[in-house]
Amino acid sequence: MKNLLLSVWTTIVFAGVTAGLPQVLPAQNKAAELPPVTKTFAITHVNVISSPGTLLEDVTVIIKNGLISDVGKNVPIPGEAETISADSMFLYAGFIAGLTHTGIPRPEGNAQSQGDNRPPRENPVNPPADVAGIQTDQKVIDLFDANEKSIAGMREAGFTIAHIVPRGKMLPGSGAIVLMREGKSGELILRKNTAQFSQFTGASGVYPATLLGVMAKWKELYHQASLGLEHETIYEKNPVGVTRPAYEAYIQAFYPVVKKEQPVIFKAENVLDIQRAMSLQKELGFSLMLAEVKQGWDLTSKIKSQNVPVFLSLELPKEIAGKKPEEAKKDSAAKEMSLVEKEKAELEKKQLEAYHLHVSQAAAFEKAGVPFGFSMLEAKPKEALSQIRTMIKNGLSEDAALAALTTSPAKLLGISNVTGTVEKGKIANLVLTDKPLFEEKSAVKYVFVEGKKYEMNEKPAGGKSSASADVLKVVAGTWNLVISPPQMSALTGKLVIKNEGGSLSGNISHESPEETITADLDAVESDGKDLRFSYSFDMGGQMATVEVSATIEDNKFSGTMTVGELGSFPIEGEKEASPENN
Amino acid sequence: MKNSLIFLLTIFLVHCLEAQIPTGSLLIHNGTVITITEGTLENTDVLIIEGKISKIGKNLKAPKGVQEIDATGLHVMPGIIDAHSHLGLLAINESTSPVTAEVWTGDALNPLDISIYRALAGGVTTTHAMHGSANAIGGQCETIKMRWGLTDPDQLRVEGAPRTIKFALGENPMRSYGVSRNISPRSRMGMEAVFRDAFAKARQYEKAWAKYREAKKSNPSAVAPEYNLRMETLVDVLNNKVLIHCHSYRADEIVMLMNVCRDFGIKRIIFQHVNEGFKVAPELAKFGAMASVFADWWSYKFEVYYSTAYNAAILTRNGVVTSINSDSEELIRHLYHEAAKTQKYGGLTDDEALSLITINPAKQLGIEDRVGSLEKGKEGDVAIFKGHPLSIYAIPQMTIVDGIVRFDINKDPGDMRLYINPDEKVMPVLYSHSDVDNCMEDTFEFLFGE
Repeated sequence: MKNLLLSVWTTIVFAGVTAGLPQVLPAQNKAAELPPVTKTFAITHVNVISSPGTLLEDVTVIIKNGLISDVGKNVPIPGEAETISADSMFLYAGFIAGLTHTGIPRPEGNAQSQGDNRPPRENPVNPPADVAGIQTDQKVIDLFDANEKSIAGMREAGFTIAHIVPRGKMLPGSGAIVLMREGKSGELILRKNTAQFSQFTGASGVYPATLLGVMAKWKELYHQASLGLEHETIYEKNPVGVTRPAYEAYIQAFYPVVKKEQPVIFKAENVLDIQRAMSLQKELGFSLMLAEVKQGWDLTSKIKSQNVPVFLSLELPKEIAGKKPEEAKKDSAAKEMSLVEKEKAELEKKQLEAYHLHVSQAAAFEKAGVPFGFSMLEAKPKEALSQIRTMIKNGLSEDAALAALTTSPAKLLGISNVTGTVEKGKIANLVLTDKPLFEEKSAVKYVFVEGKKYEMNEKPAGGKSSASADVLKVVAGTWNLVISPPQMSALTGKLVIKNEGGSLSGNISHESPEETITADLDAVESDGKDLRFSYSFDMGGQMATVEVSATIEDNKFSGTMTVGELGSFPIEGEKEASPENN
Repeated sequence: MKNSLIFLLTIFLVHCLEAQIPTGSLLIHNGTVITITEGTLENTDVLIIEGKISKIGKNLKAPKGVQEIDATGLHVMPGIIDAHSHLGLLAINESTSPVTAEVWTGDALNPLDISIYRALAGGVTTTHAMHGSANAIGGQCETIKMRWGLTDPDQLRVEGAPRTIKFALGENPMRSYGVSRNISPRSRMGMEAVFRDAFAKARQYEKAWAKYREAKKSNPSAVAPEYNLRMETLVDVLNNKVLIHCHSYRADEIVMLMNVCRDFGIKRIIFQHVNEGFKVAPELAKFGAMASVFADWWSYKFEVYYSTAYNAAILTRNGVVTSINSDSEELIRHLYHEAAKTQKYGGLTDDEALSLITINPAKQLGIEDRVGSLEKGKEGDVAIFKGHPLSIYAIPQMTIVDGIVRFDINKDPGDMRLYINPDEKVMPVLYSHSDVDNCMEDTFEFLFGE
């Protein structure tokens, strides 16, 4: 049966239909920037939270030449200073993101289906290092673009510094710490070659394609670098009679890791990835940092004892409304239920428990006394504060939350001498809010990045936006689809989602060489951000179920479609027209 | 100084704690104890202390605080061992090269795989978590125990078990490389060439390193040859430090690989599936090769048409150490039924039939001194059945690993998953028979690409 399914699907994906993907708009022309009138500011009568737990009431903060030049009650205000009267406002140190891809343009075209950029699949055995995902010699500062729009997005959420790393596969390159202000790319770099970034991600279609290959390659590279280093040392001492060491950029770029001069920062989301990274560290002995941690609650003591710097993910699971696990338990006991209902209730109860473990992860780290920062490889900056508020609702203290945004990442990244607190002499990275930061309706009013002032518009920081009418507005309509099966030409199609009495329904049609597949959707779900739907069609006598899970952003969605047992492929959609009113 | 000593000591203790695998103590009381190697004992007790069998006998007293299990009317046998499985793994095939000796399933263990719990429910305590069969020389495999509930991948390992590696013959590697990607091997001739080539290169590699190590003694400026993890592994295979488990069907290629092994001095090989093993049983026995077979599963591809359910019995009668495996997360739940089929087809005795899923797979994994039978000093891995395990009415009641009850039919909640995804949506179940054989998982795009 599998073979039949495979062959039918194969013929579908052989279609060879080229899909014209929407063109990316050219970068907008920026008006020539005028120099600011003054680089000196006085924020007066403000409540300063100089570091977590330390409140200085009604003080004045002077900013001069990008630095905090004074903090105090009766500090003189320089004549050239622009004064910001901040009575009843709150001033915090600028936030620091522990790991992001901020300021790195995405590859041209469609990141999900880079069919044309892929290496020829005839030789998957021994691809060049960069194709294999080993780009240790790549430096993020060479990719960083100060005009990239994600920088403003970070700044608006209060982030003034980000530790950035390249996108890629198992070893995408080394990171840098950059300031989230405007300027020339070079000016914004605070530290370079901070850490090698690593993930358990295989190269598509070539060695190493899976976790198995990635782990083997990692170990091999480490040993090769150790031996290469030894060879180089011998040669440098006395080259007479010694074979000349060959130059291999990706191996040499790994020498600082072997020498423990440069740590490796691993993206380790789940409980298994975290432990795998820690085992690898133990086996080989490099210095390790963990980032994008989502399931670390059982591992706090292990992380503490191995003394690993850790950045927790700011991406949380979608909220499961209302109930606490104990209440759900009561509910399921109270009612007389059918077996199916009972099973469903059990399942929901377990999911709710799992949800609570995720949202209280940060609290668990605080309780264990493990300092942590936040990483944002996936989380959207504008949701950062609301996610942290969720963590606070689930046990994280406000001081620990602020520490995770300021002092802890500064310390973990080795920049606490220049930033992380509101103190004289530090970089003028500041966030001014109208209410205490973690209050529900608190809004960011001003952000200073190295003394550069940014005034924010009125919308509340990190507020929630979705309502069901909004969801319909976002989702309902006609979507043009591009489906990209592995290493093959893309298929196109159309998806129509309708509003039927407040609930979603729809149909889909997409290409195949023999006939166009048309089906009604079995289920559609969306909260305006995520979209999931499923449908079935006759695949050579057997009904195949297709499930799609995607994320919507700006009239586009991207995600994966899973076709029965055959695997998952990228799918993208772009909205065509507004829905009719029905 | 003192402080740093204490610090070091603390680190040492922490490491010890981490490596430690939890064990338990139990007295299994008054069961019919099928020891496999020392007969079947009626009304007998088995005492497990800290994970090891400390006594088997009548009227044993449980030390204070040790839990007692009443096995009156029940059958007590060693935990079942599956010499061919892919459960508990996050990745199975690194199908990008015909030779990937360097990869290791031990790097991709998944203690959260619910199949582990399901295997326990079939009395299974140990499996051989194998690389798939896409490559001629696939990855190294890991022997694991079904310690459901632990979430550290390292705690699944049978520490100290011999290293093993997956090889594959015939159609799978041929179509993964030759047919779909025009890379050798395309034919069975090519298969042999791939093995000989890999072994010959490994010998060269070994020589280069031996030369370097010798030179280093007198010349501190001697420079090491290039380090290659694939070759490092193959050198260990050539030096009989790694057991070969080879996916195979046809008699001719089985003989071929034995000849290759003989030429390169490799002595330890276990053939997997080996559907035509019955044709070359005397040759296998002479070589000292072992066989791990399906009870009655074949015809799923051309090279597996010539098969018989008498395979296990014929191999056994010819003196080949034989086991019955599952290669499936479903079949693994009733390996005792699979073993019983050899009584219908071949008339094996009870002990012979049960050996196929206990002591024999233990031998094939090189852990027969630790598990596979109920003997004093062995590890406390036990399956308790209602009904004789070879009866069609047998129902596993309790499965014990290292003296800890990991499955109990009377305490078996509906949802035993660990680390549930809170975002997961329960989709309608799609019934299909396509998921039983995942030997070729992750190879789709290579097989059916352009």
